[in-house]
Amino acid sequence: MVLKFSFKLVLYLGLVFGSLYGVQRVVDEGLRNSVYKEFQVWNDIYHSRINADLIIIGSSRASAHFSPRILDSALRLNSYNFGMEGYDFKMQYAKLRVYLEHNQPPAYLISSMDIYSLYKRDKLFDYEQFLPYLNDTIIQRLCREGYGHKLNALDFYIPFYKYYTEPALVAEAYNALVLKTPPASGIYYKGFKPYNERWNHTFEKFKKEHPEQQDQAVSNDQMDLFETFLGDCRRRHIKVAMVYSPEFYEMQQNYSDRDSIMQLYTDVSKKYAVPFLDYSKDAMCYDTTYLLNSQHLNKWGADVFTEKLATDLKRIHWINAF
Amino acid sequence: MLFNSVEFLIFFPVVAVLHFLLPHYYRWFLLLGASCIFYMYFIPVYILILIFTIIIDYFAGIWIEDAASQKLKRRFLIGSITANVGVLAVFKYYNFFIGNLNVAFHDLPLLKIALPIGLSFHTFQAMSYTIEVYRGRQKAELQPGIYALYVMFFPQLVAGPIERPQNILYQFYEEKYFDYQRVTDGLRRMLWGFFQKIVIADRLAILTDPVFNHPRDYNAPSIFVAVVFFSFQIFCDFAGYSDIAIGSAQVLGFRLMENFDRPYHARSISEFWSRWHISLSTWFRDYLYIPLGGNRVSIQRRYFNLFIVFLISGFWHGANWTFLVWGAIHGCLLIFEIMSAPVRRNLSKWSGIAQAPKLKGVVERLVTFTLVALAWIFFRANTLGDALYMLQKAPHGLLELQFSSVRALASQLPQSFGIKNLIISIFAILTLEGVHALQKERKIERVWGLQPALLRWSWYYGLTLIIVIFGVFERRQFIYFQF
Repeated sequence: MVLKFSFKLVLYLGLVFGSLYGVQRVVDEGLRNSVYKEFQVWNDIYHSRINADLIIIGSSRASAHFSPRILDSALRLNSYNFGMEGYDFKMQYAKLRVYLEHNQPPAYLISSMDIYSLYKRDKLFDYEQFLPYLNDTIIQRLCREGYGHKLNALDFYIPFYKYYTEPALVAEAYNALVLKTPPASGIYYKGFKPYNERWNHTFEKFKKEHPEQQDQAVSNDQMDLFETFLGDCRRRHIKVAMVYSPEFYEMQQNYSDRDSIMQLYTDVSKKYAVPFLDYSKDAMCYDTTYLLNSQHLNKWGADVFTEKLATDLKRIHWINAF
Repeated sequence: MLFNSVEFLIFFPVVAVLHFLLPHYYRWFLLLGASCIFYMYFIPVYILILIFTIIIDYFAGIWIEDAASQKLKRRFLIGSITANVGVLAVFKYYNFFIGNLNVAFHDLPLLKIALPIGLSFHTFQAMSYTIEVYRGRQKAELQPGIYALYVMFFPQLVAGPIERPQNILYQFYEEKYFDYQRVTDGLRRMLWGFFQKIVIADRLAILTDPVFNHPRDYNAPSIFVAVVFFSFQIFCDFAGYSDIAIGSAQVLGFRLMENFDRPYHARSISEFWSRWHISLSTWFRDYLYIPLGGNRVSIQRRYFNLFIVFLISGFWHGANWTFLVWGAIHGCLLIFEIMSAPVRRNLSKWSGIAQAPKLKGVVERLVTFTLVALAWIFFRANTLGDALYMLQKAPHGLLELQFSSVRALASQLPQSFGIKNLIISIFAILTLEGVHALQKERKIERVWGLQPALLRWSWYYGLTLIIVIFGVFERRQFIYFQF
């Protein structure tokens, strides 16, 4: 009786897990065809649809500030924005490495810098974007070891486990694969995510709650990785420019180590002979018309900034004529 | 540890396998250890409260049995009950009383402690032991480990069924064997319990929680639908838990009492209470209502007894005026049912509905469900003000609701709920009622085993996939855990 029960239990569990594996594959496939939010960018990468001349990497300041439409028009090339919200340089570089495995290397690369670029983050932010790609070794290593708290072995080895608390993703996979209806919102042009709002006054609230200066330490690991990245780009003949886009001037006074971090960026740019374009003293930093909050330009600010950047890149002959 | 968690899905098979591998003599120790782990998964230090009541009641049982006089027996019983009720009073009711006194006195201190999970359940189970020993209907348990297991047995530790010592204590001495039919029946019952909890109850909560928490932010149709959905949510949440508890105990070889018997098929409030949370309603009947005199007193005294029992039953559920009002409503409904019985009999004869028993049954069930659903408003609402507001709005909601299509219906509900949740909820409730219809007169138990293996396996497989794919896995606690 025990044998009969065990056999039937194994058969039953096999059927269930086998089916869940099938369902997971379908959901993965659906999301790999989705154009919703971050999936659009990852799918473009994995389907080798980018092959851009110019790539922008960085944080949410990259994704909100650098308009590929304006860069394409002004510089007459094909650009793509890989800005990632909530991540440090380690994940930004990982995304570039995944890109390079599936696409032609770009001729040019802009690394959007900010005070937190080389600050170590340890949380897996917006982890849902990685779920369809957990079989990629770079993504897998980062999700399991690089950033704690969210994904564990069960997400990798139990079929469908990674989706069982994500009904919205399952629904989106169904939309993308079966209904083939584009999402009502969350579609970006080449990874560009502009903020369509005016100054939102969150900085005033932040100042009241944090009147003291903020510390932000540059991680040695992140610094080493950044230099490895610059060396790697040099080997691949990718021209790099470091760009510090505008931020609200009052926020700059909140950083206790700002001067030393900016000096660090200047020093590394000289060491690797890459231009460092610093817009942190630009007039836009003093005009909230162009800003959403202390860290981010709004849509109108992003357009003005990108135009300025394109002009300056041509002026310093960083971009060869196309 | 929640039943609807990955931890339990690992914990339970391990305990079950070890249970059957170990020699019988050591099994109680395994179950006791597993029950400790299960309980300590919530707030570990609270096991000290359990240990305290276990020690008190273990010795109280022995002293009651050995006491030379009835007076001394009664003293030990009172001591045991005082200790148990005292624990309840401190952890569950202190802040309620002090909060109400602070309306006048303002600065009496409140306790900042979390309610120990399942406190009301295991306290009542412990009290039933000492009362039965006092009544001479149960011998005192001399093995402290077995007594501790009686209080802490993990399938029913935190939300019942509230067992009687005569039903379960002797089972811990029985040698359990692996029985294929019993184990598969138990697993099937657990599966059904998970479906009720994860697919139905937790999905309905997506609508009911925000509406009950902020009723003034929602329109009347949303309030009406939330009231109806909450009736099913609380049933599926609690009956689902009971099914998992009874099923898991069955796998291990233990028989727990039934706790629900299709309560929304009841034709009267009194019948409802013979079908809903049966272990609690029989506990109150045996240990409160009958000692107060039960039915063997004057009619006015009987009404008084009923009212008091339901008032206390309401208070057992929670330290809030809303629970007291809920209990009082049910008490009043029962009293009205008894008082109006002759009038209702004459009315059904006069109207002719007595000649159509099926129609009469439908009307009675509908009326009973409506009364129970309206009473649930007080059970779930955060304040009396919210409850009265919802009570006023719900009938308007029914009148305003558009039933022309599912899409039309969904458009009147909060956007956050959406048509997808509405369709899944309706489908799940229909499945539930379909199974209940088959369970009538125990038909389902008789015929299910006779069905072809392909049909049975398709049902188990389909139900499992529905739970995994359509279940809501946001780690929502069982509603009755808070009691």
